[in-house]
Formats: sequence, C-alpha cells, structure tokens
Amino acid sequence: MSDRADLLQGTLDLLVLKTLLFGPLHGWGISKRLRQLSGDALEVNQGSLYPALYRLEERGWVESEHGESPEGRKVKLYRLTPAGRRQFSAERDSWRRFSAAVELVLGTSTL
Amino acid sequence: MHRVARLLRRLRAFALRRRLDREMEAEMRHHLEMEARDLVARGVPAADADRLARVRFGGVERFKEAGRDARGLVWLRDALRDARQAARSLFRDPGFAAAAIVTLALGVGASTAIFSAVYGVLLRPLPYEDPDRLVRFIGTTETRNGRGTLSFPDVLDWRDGTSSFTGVAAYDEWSATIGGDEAPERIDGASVTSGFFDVLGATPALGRFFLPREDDAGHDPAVVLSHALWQRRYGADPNVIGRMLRVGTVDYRIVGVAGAAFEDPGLSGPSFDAPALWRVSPPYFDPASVPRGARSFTAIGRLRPGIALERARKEVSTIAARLAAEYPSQNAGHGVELVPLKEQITAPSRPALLMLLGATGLLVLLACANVANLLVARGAARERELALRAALGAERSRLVRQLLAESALLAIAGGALGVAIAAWASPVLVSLAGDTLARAARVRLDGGVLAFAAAATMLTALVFGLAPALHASLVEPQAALKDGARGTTGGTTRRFRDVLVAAEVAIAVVLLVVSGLLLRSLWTLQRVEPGFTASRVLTLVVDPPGATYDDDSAAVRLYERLEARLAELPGVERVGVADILPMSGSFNGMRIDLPDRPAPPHGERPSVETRVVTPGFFSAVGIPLVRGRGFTRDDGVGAPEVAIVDEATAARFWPGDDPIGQTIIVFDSTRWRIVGVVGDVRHFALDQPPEPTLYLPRARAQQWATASGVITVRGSASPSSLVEPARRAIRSIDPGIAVSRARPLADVVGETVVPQRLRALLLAIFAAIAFVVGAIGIYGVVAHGVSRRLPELGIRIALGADRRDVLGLVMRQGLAPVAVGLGIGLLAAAGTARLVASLLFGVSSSDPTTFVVVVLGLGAAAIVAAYLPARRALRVDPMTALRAD
Repeated sequence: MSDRADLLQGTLDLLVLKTLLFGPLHGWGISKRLRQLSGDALEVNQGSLYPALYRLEERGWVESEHGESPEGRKVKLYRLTPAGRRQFSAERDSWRRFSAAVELVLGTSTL
Repeated sequence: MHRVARLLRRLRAFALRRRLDREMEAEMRHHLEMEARDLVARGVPAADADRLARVRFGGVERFKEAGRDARGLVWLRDALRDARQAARSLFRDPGFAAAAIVTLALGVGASTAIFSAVYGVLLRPLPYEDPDRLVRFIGTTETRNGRGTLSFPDVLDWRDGTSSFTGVAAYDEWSATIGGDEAPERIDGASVTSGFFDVLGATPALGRFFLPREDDAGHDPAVVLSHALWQRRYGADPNVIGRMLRVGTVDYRIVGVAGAAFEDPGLSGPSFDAPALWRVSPPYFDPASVPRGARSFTAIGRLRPGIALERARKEVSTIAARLAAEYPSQNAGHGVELVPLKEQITAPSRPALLMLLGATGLLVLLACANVANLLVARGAARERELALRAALGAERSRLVRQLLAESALLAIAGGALGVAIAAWASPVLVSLAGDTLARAARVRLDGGVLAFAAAATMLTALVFGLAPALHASLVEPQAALKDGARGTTGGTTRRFRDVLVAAEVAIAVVLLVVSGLLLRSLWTLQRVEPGFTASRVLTLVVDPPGATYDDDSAAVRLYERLEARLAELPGVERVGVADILPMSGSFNGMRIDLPDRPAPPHGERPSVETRVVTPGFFSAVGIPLVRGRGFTRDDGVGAPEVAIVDEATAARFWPGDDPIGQTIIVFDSTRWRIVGVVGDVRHFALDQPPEPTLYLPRARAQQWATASGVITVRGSASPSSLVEPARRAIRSIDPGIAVSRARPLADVVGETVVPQRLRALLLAIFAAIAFVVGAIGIYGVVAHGVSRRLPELGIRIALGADRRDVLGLVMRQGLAPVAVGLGIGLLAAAGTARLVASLLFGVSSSDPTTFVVVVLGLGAAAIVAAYLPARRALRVDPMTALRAD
C-alpha cells in the first residue's frame, strides 16, 4: 500500500481524458491504460472509473458509441470531444501549476 | 447554449435511463470478465481470478448507484423511484395505510373547514377601497341603553368640526313593505346619507349611487337595490334603473344596483338580514327635523391618508366633550369611540373562531402524533428490511428519503381526503352557525384556504414523518440482522412512542376539558328561565299598509280584529300583540322620570326597556302576573293611563315599597300609574340578565308603538301547523297586510344559543376524536411492548414470577407515559381554560367537576386500553415464548 498513491480528488477526470487522447477506448481498456501509464502506482477502485465516465459524458467532454472490442465483443466505446480536448489542456495546465507550486513548497529547506 | 445542451443530455439520459442502466451493467460485467481474463494471463489461478477482479473493482452496487447519479437529474429520478417504492410498500400494508390516511384526513379536514371560516370572517379583507382606513363611530354611555347608536346632529358636528376624515356617513337600519299592492314583500333596508357609498369607496354594478346632497330637503326619494334583491325581484333586468318602487307609502326612484360582493357594514344584529336596499328620503336626514336626543343612528368615517386613528380619536372626543357641555340635557354622559370597521364587524366572532382554530391545531398535532406512532410501530417491524438494505449498500440518506416519501404519500392522500371532508363540512358549519356568524357568505373554499390545507398537509408530513424516519435509519445492520436478534432500537423506539403517547394524552386532556366546560356552559344556559314559556307559541310579524291605518285608533281597531279572528282558529288558546318580541335582537330603551323620587342629576336620568302590548300578550307568551292586575280592553284612550312593570323595575326604583299606585313618566309628560307587576324577562339573550321593563297598553300607547306588530299565538296544536291558518285569517281581514317571520317562539329563543351550541358541538367532536385516538395509541404501545418482551416475560414466569406481578409490570410500563400526559395535559388545560373564559356561562374556567371527570374518564379509558393487550402477558406459555424466534 505504501508505495501506491491515493488518487487526489478530481484528478481521475484528468487522467481519463488523457487516456482517451490517443483514440476511443472501452471501459476496461481505459482502466488498463491508466494502470499501464502510471506503472500501477495509482491506487483506485476500478469501479470508480464508471461514475467518472458518465460525469464527463454529461458535461459533454466525452461521447460514447457502440463499437466492437478487439476481441470482437459489442462494447461501449468512449471518445474525446473537441470540448473534452480543450478541457484536458486547461486541466493539465492548472495541474502543472498546482504541482509545481506544491513542489516549490516541499523543496524549500525546512527550518 | 452550453447549459441548454447539458440539460438536453440530462433529459435524454433520464428518458433513456432503463437502457442506460442495462448498458452500464453490460459494461461492468465486461470489465470484470476482461479483468479476470487478464489476471489469469498474468498467472493468477482461475479459481481466484473472479474474486480478485471483484475486489479490485470495488462494490459493484455502489458504483452503479454513483454512475446513475453522475448522469444528472438525480432528484427527479429519485423522487419517482421513491414514490413508486413508497406506494408499493403502503399497498402491502393496507390496514396501516388506511388508519394513517383517515387520521390525517380528519385532522386536515377539520382544520381546513375551521380555517375557511376564520379566513372568510376574520382575515379576508372587507370589499371596500382601502378598508383599513374605515372606522365606525360607537356611542358610549354609562348605561347600556346607548348601545353604540348615535345622535345624528352629533355626527354632523363631528363631520364638520374635524379634519381627520375624508368623509363621514350616517345610516339607520329599518324595515318596510315594498311593492305596495303588487307582490308586497317585507324587507330590511337602510336609510343613508348621500355620502354612504363614497365613504366605503364602492362602485355600483348598475346605474349610480347617491349624488352629493341628494339627501337634502327638496330632492326626490331614491333607492339603490342590493344585488340579491335586483336578481330576485327583477330577474336581473338591466332596465330597472329609473323605474319607481313603492316603499311603505312612498314611491322611490331606483337609481342603482350595488355590486354582488358589496357588504353592508350594518350593525349586523342577529335578526337583521343584509339590507335589500338603501334609500335617501329627504328630509329624513335634515338636521332641523332630527332631535339631538334621538340616538338611533350609526356612522362610519374614512380616515384621511396619513392620519393616525389616535389623532382622529382625540379630535372626535374633544368635540364630544364640547357637545356634552353645550347640550347637557341631551348629551351629558354621552361619549364616542372610534373603532376600525373590520375589528368592529369581526369582534363578536373572533374569540370563538380563534378557540376553534386552536382546537383544530391541537387536533392536527394529535393526528401527527398518532400517525408518527403508527409509523414507528411499522418501522420497528421493518427493522430487518431496512437493515438488509443498509447492509447491501443503500445510503442512510436514501433510507430516510424513502421513509419520508412514504410519509409524503400518506400526507398527500390524507390531505386530499381532508379537503374533500372540508368541502363538505364548511357549508354545513356555516349553515349551523346561521345568522350568528358575521360575513358568513364570505366563507368558501378558495385559493387561500386550499393553500392553507396544502401547507398544513406538508407540515404534518414533515412533523410526523421526519422523526420516525431519522429514528429508523439509525438501525445498526449487523445487530439487527443477527439471528434471533430483535433489533437494537427497541429501547429508543419505546421511549419515542412513550413520548408520543404522553403528547396524545395531554392533547386529549386539553380538548376534553375545554369541551367539557363548553358543554356545561350550554347545559347551564339552556336551563336558564327566560321569564316566559316559549313552547307552543307561534310568532308572526304583521305590517299593515300605512295609509289605511295611519290613524292610531284605526290601528288599534285592526289589532283588536286580528286578535279576535286568530283566537277563533281551532287549536288556538291565547293571542296577544307586542311591538317587540323577546330575544329578537331589537330593543327600545326609554328615559323615564319618577315624579315621587328626588330628581337625579343631569345625564343620569334612568331608563327602562319599553314594550307596548295588548291585554292578551302576557298570557299568550306566559309571562306571569305577580301582583296587581293585567291590562284590560278598557285601558284605552280616555281611560286613566295605566302601566305594568316587571319585578326588576320594582326592585330598582321602589325597593321595599309597593310599586302598585306609583307614577312613572315616559314619552314627554304622560304620567302612567302602575297597576300590576309581572315576572322578569330576558329580552336579549339567555346569557344576559333581565332588563328592567315597562309595559304600556297598546290601546292607549299606540302612538308610541311601531306600526308593525308582533302577533303571538299560543295553541294546543304545534306552532308550525298554525302558520298557514294564521296567514289566511290575517289576509281575510286585509290582503294588504304583509306577514313575515312566522316562527315558533322556541326557535327565536333557540337561535340565541346557536353559537354556544355550535362551539360545544364542534369541541365535543374534536374531544371525542382525541379520546379515541389517544386510547388507540395507548393500546398500540402496550401491545407492541408485550409482544417484544414475550420471551423475557416467559423467563420471568418460568422462574416463578406471579402472573399478576407480570401483568402489573406491563401495565405500569404502559401507563407511565399516560400519567405524564395527564399531568402535562392538566397544566395545559388549566391555562387554556382561562383563555376561553369569555366563552363560558355559569361555570368557572377552573371548574373542578370538569377536570376531575376528564381525568377519571381518560384514566379509566387508558387502563382499559392498556389492560386489553397486557392480558397477553398473563397467558404467556413460558415454553412457547422461549422457543419463539
């Protein structure tokens, strides 16, 4: 447990958007991609992905369509909308500013 | 644009929610399969892969729920689902649902019906322009004979000498026969000064109201018809304007018709119907022809904008004081009070209506307590269901919401049924109240009243629903699901229900005490001797056509002939004529002088009620002759002037002396010698003391009597069977005589106690409901307690406890909250009874009998209600009880 990071509230949305940058994926595919990208370092209940997906869909950043999985099964595929792309850039920038600021504080020598 | 798109997506998701749910399930199933396959590929044994996949996924149900939430419009979806679930759950338990809905319907129905009366009478604005600026002038005197009426010259002096008013109008109620020979009809009307309608700020439905100065001498007499008379007599003919109408002996021009909603601000004494017309009949209001001492007028005024009531009061009383100094013989001791019109109109109904509103408030609380009690009992039975759902991941807030949805559904059903009850009860209430309720015509179920019903319903749903819902949601799943466990909330459930029972008992005590006091008042009141015998007496009002009988001797002869003709009817024993009927709401106080007594200072001339009667009147209505003689046919013009007094007059003016032979001066200078003494009569109402009264013989005093006469007929037959023969007999003497108000005297008397009877009846109904509901509450709690404790009681009995001790234990536990409720209720009832003291008659607000009877009655009922279910504890078979789950 100690070598895994709890997911910061709200960052799951950013990460999901990131996984979809490279093309449409189905639910489990997103989950798998997340784990690959983070090197299994992020601790998250896989189920929590779905509420996040529906939330992104409701806001218009992601849209879903019926498609086929690589294994030939009928699944729901999620893709990024143009609005989702813009949202990703904006959130990524604000995340970077935020983490840089946190880093700055932590990097300062303690008294 | 963005928002609209988002809302559309939400609505779409809502509309497609079933399909989306299916897709979500498929998606999650797919995820778990893929994950398991992936795990197997990475070397996890196939047997563990499924389980591990689920662990890594987390709670499937929880994420489904969160997934649905994420789609938006959560509240709408939840509301629908909660409502459906609640309806299903209530249908499974129809007995409970019916009990709760009926209880609520009674509470909401009673309170809405009462509120419709309170709203119509007390709260609905008067239908005048800016009604809050209207005030009524009320005359004040040291004696009661002033009764608020005013001198017309005084009114003119207030109008012209003040700057606080934009207008002041005087009026005078009267009744007359309209139509002359063609369809004569007796109506009540008002004589008004020409500014009357302008002061009220009313607009006519047709034609015009009176012109300024139209009441001055020299103008033609004119009338404005009430909307009702216009419809009834003229069939709402718009061409009625300009036509002539005979009123009494004078022809009036019809100039206008009042609006349908117009309310006459009249004195509204119980016997006065709303005026059917308003007239100006110059020179009726000519200051030169109206003496200052004649106080029979009423006046209203409209305050100038920005003028406070206090300032107007000061101005008017300054002038009144000046007038009293200027005209000591007429005005000494007379003052004037300004009262907001609305307050004056509604004041008589206010205490009773507020008491009824308070009582229905208690009834609603009681209904809430009872339904809460039912819900808690049901909640206890459903503990496992709720625990199971909590264990399966349902959030606490969701459980609370579902329980609240059930309450809301119950409340809506109860509220709808309650409004139906109110729609039926409200007109019944108004018709029971009859003439005694001011503005009764304004009582109806409309937007305002329905809003009240809706608010009352929602409030009850919250009050009775929230507490048990929160309470039930505290269920601890593990404990409640443990095999054989009886839940963990047993203690708190019982305490909560004990509180409810105590509250129900306390409310029942208050309602029972108040209704007991009112019933005792009514009982006392109905046993008051009015001073006459009302049974088997018919009364009729006759109005001879003026022109024929203007001459006093002709009128006297007419009444003698009427008496003789009516006395010949079969079944008639006695006939008499008076000018004013007892308890009809009319009065006639006259100043008198006593030549043999020292003259009192100015302004303190004594006065007595005066009645002009025929010889047969006393025996016809059964007023007993105490001393001396009654009137005879010889006491007419030319004979010595003789009078009869009642015992109250004798005691007041000649205490210890013989009144027979004494002289009394009334009507200017006529000296009347007293020849007889009769018993006292309550002229105004049963709850008002007898007023000293002077009787004069009609044959001699016709000139001071009203032209109309009240005929009283005592018969061996029932009064109502005499109505038609009497009418025919009167018509046979002169078809121009208008006959009206043919009623048994007993009804006239009965009407004076209608308000008391109605109040007592309603409160008795409320108290009976409270009594029954309280008893059921006690029964339910004890029954519940016994069934919960059966195993424990079984153990006690198995260990050798006396069964009677066990019964006592159960009873004590059941009756403890009753005792608390009785105590609290007695304290509250003592306070409440003082608030309604003004509605009581002949019984003190702390009447010990009432309190003791209520406590004993409720206590006995509580013991029975507790004993019936507690008997089960006696019959417990230890083995069965222990083996039971």
